[in-house]
Amino acid sequence: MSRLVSLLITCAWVCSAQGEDGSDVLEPFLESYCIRCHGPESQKADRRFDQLAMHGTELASEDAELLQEILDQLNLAAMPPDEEPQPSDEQLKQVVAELTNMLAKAREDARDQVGRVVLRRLNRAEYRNTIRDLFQLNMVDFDPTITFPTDESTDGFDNVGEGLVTSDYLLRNYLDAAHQVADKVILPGPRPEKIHYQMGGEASSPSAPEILNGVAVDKEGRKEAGRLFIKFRQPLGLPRLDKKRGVPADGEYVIRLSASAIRRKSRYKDEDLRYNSDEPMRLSLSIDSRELGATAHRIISEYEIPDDRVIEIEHRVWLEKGFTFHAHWANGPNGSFKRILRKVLPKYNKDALYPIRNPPEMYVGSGPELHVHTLEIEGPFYDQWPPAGFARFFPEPPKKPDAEYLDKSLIRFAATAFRKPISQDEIEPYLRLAREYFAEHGDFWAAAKYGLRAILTSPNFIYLVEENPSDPSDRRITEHELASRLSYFLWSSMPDDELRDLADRGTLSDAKTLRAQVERMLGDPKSIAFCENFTGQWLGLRKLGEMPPDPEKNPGYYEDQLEEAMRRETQLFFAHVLQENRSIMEFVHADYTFLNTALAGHYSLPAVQHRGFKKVALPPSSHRGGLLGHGSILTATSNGVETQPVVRGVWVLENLLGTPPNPPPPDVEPIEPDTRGVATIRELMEKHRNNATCYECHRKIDPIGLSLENFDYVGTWRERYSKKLPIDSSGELPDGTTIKGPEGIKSFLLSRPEQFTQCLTEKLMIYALGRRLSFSDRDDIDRIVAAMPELEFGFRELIQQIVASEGFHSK
Amino acid sequence: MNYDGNRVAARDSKEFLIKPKSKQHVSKEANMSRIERRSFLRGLGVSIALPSFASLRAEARLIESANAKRFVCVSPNYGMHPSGFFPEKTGADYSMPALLQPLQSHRADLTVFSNLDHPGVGGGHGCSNTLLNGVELKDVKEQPQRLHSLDQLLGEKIGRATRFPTLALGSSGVSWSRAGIKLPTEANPARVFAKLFVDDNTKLKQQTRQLLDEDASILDVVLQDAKRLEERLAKADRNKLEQFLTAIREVERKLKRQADWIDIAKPRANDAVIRGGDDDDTIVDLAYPYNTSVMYDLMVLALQTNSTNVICYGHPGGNRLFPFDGITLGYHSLTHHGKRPDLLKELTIIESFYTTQFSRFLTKLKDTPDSSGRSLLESTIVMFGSGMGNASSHSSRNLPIMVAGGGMKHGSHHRFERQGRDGRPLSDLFVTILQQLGIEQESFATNSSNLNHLLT
Repeated sequence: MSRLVSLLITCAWVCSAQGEDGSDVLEPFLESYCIRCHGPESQKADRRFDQLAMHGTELASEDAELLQEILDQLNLAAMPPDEEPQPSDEQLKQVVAELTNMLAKAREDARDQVGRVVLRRLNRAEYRNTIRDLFQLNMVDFDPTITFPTDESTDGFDNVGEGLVTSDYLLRNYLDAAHQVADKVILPGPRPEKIHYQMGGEASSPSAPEILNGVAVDKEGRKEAGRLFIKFRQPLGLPRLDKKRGVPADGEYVIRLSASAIRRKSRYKDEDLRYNSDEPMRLSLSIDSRELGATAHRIISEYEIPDDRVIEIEHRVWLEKGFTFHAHWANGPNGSFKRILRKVLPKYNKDALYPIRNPPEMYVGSGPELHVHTLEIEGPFYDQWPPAGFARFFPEPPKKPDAEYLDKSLIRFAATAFRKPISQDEIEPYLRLAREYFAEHGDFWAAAKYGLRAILTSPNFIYLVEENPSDPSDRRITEHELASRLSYFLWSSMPDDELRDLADRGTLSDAKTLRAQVERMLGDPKSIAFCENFTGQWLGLRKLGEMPPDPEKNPGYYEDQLEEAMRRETQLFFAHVLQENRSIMEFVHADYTFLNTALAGHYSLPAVQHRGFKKVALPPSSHRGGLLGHGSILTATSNGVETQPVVRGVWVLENLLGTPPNPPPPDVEPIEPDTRGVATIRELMEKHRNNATCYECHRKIDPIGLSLENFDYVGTWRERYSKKLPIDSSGELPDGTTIKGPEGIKSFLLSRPEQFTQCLTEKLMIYALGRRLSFSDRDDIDRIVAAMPELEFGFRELIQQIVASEGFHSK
Repeated sequence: MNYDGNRVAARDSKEFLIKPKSKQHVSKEANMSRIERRSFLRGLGVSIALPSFASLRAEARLIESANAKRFVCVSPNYGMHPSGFFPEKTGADYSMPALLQPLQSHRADLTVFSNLDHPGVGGGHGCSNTLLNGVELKDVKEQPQRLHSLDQLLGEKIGRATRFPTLALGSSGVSWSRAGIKLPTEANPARVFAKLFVDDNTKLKQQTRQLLDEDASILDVVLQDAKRLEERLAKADRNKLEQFLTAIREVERKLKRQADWIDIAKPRANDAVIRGGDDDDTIVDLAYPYNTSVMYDLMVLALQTNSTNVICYGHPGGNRLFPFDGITLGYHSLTHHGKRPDLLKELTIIESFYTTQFSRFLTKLKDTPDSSGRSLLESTIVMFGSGMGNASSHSSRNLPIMVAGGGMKHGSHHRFERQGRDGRPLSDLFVTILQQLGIEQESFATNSSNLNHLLT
């Protein structure tokens, strides 16, 4: 709360003490303990208290924000600084009581003016998810938002209405996206014909030679080699599919193949083939699009292929029209077949030098080969036709649909897309647009697409509209607005039929129903959006990968796909705390985490005896429990070359303690540091800190950042710097607490559960409300923080508290 | 993207010109008036035909009388290390410090300034984005229109007769719309090339035209809906919706403009500029930073073909490891060098790369004639500068600024007095630039006067 940017709205405020006893306490206190640094002479941290208008009837909300900050600082015992004269306990008590009173009153008075949600548009993720749910689309490889500009972040989140802008550039993207979507979902035709392409096995055709692209292998050689084999890293696909530009329609397809590993160990040396014969051969399947190129390439599964035994593989996958698939030898020899033939083969067989011989044939049948015996694809399959997303708005279309059917369908669609009941005159212009098109061109489905495009460009779709109530004193949101708030909070998407139904009936806001709905929504797979978007921003996981480590110095980081593994660890951990209603204090410290083998190795922990990720108990000496031991956060706060203790310190202050430091004051020119001749980062930072301007904030930042120095820039534990210089991870916090290592910060945080709770509550509130917090939200926050110990700090309970808060139900 | 029938390689195109439609070569001695109408160009193998619609011609005539016609701004995100950039001596016989050395051959066409900055702009990373508007987002929340940047204003004034009012290339930051929104950029040279020089086929053009018509009608309906909605919103929400209404009007204008240009053939250019040649020395690398020279080549082509009159090109910040010899740390880390000579040496490698490429760009502009036969440099004001001064302290003071070409008086280093925290407002320079481009405007952003006495 300490850095809320004040709203420029003034509010009526009657001093609770009527200008008598109240300011008698506060003003002398400020004069004695605060004004010297925050007054006319000096404005440390850009704060000035001598101009606070505490008399009279008007208190600007910015003054209220300042008073709130003063109160917070006093409560945290962070001010006045240790080296300054200190007030007595009695004085403190009086002032705190006085400030608390004044602010309570001011909040009461200001409730109507501040802390309102500003008309908020869907951000990119929300738009995409909304389209997905509106039409029940499979959106893995269809993304109409790909060209949308990045959404601006305000107070750390990209769903805050104040900060989300709508440029003409974005509007054009909306028009284009609507066009793409309309083409994708309006499917009035018959069920697409099935295809069934296959190669190998009984069905092998004389056209088989085409499948071996690159160097030709003659008939004899192929007989020897089996019908098909994957040549090293060259992908193997179905030529009919590749030639026909992919599958004919969006839908689910079944890919089947049979394969076996032949001569995993052969007379060729591994280093010649650039290959590891000790591991079982692995075959991977990818889906690809020639039109979209490399961006669409995606590995969908990987299989171990047993030696000398045929294994049957079947994989079901959704393919967009025009996509194709390929099989790869995931760990086959590196480099080209040509290289083997030209450089390697002659080492083993002198005959290969004679052009009259056929080198491919010489190799085939002597080296390791991944044989694919059959390869086929069948589809598309549909659960229903027409697809649900189409039938939902265009149910049972008549043979010759007319204008009336057009109207009805578009009204049905708009009522869902606008997430509220709609009025006839609201929808009329859209209907007229489509109707006129229909009348002019006579093409019903083109007219339907046209109307759909317009509705998807409406401000009622693009914005989460909360209309001004007819009675201005009534700030409660409507049932439908509540449904949208809930679904965009927990799913980053639109309300589903059940929420909509409850809103239609007017019973969603009933406390018991609401509680049950939150439980249901958190149990729905769509809540993954909350885990990803909230951790991505609260914890800064989205920054992971922005400054990746140098591939040459960190090959393992890339081979083991550590970046993805780290992100996954944090998301799984967060989801676990949420799903199991664990204490939020486990974010600070836990005796478990989620690891795969690669990440366990990175953390120097015993290998995970499991494919994929597993919950793992951590030994006490591991330094890993809790978010501060997560590689994701330690890497995201480094720059890929070295650690950045200042960034880490700020990260902890901002995201765990909720006391972000002030940015450098704008009117003081920063001094250019002179750091010649320093050896360690600690010395370097001390040079900065010796400067008085810097000291004020860096005394808070640096000790925390330096205590994490044992974690290097990719989050591995180290005892020394590279040049054998010792790491000193000890420090003293501004309040005098001495800390050492990550354990030091953790115990500091664990001893102040209410501070971490408040921090997380504030972050969740911003995210849930889609707006900045104001001092008037303080009642909600205080109430929630006070309730949490009794609720054993359960994370689900915290979500329930936020959904039940007054702010969540107010405009 | 292969124009075999019309392939005029960059290296052997000096001797003839291309006529777009008939593919017939026209000699230099051809009828002059025809040449003027068609505006044939030499150089990198390009040819253009100016649009014929009357409104554009009228505007084209308007800027005909100005001294300069085009504006280019090149901006490194993290400024330039001051002691490598600012000369010691002022006047004409200053000596060029390390970072300016690559520009030695252009000193007669170049002016270097010390102590220009934007009053009121604070330090921190945000200041890089204030280069062309002089204000910070956080200070003008209530008046977002104050964020409107110089290049975008120029696009409205001198960019209306071209296909692209402005081009924003490289990394984004300095261009802000009239509505106060930071504008996106295109950093991929292949896409820039396609945008400038690759025509859609007839069928696609037809489709595009239909789509533009449909989108325009959709916007009519949406506008009605938005206006209806506006009445039902609280005041703060109405302000927010105003942004949407502005966007609708902007898109309508742009749809119209796009429709106007559909039938006018794009100029042709040899795609060797992005494809490279077959020999080793003509291979092009489209990844940053190597694509810098490609981007500059595309900028020359864009100006030469009158595709645009206003270009901004940004060098990104971030902590990338530059793939140059001697670089061991990320760019951002190096800007916080703490005066360590080893780190400064590395930073100098990167910043010299910027000025070397910039110098090459000036050379190309000098060697390329525009449609009226003047050199492009003569008719183009080229500014190099950053909204960040000394990156080591994230300072917004004493910005590294130089200006070349545009028919202005050059050759000197000018240093202004500092008044306390502030130097001379950079917007003073912008007013002079505006006037040199034929826009009679006495004020821009936070200017106090202008720099006409030094540059004109």
